[in-house]
Amino acid sequence: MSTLLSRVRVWPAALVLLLVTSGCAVKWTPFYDPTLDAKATSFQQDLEAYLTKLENLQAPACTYQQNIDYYEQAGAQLAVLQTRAQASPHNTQLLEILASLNKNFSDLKTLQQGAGVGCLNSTVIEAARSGFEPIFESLLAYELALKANEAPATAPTKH
Amino acid sequence: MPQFDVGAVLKSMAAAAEGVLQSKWPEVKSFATTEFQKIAQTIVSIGEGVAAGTISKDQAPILLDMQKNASRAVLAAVEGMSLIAAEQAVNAAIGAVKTAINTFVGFPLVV
Repeated sequence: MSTLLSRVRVWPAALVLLLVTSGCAVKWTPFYDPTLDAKATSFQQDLEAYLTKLENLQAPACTYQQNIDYYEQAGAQLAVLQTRAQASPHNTQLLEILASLNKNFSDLKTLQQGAGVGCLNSTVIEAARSGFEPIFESLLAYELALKANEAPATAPTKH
Repeated sequence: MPQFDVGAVLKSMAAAAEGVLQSKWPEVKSFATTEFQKIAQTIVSIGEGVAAGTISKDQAPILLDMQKNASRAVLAAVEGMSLIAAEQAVNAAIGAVKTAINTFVGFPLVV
């Protein structure tokens, strides 16, 4: 056991020594994830299509009960996004944006559940939509900034 | 319907957020100003919607919460800002104009 602990303690020091002596710099920054970018765009497209569909539906087709499939699928998409974000290095900003997206998705679900057997009207749908737009803009700006600054799949980058 | 002085509200919101963010404020000021304008616009829409009967009193706080979340995300995306700091700034900004909001909408939208 003590040998194992000694090895565990030695590894970080050995890594630092290796980097210092080899003259290499390790760049620990977030990196552009094309899969996450594509999935985020897909989530946004599905949400927009769903909200547009809702605006044109009549009861009972517009109710939460009749649209559980959307919430299940979109919820799964969000979970995948969050898992990929969790696995990204230096992911704080990304996780914060996705946490807000998750919260607003949950709020949309609450709104529709609260409508019971009725429909959300266009005023409410538009107000909900405007709550999502800045989040998608932030996510897009974040991904574009990473894409502009780094080649895909290069983090951590060793020079 | 009571008046909602957007200009005065925005000044109060900015002052409250500046008090919370202090040295970070210059970096986020332009983003925060834009976000506070959106929050103010959402409050106007909610007030008008409630008055017109198109938004219920149950839906109103959820819609405001969605706009607050969006603003938090935008501020938190600024380099060096945490979600907690962004949340504190948005909450302080809204808290500073709580009376004006609740008077305008005619019920305790912000508690």
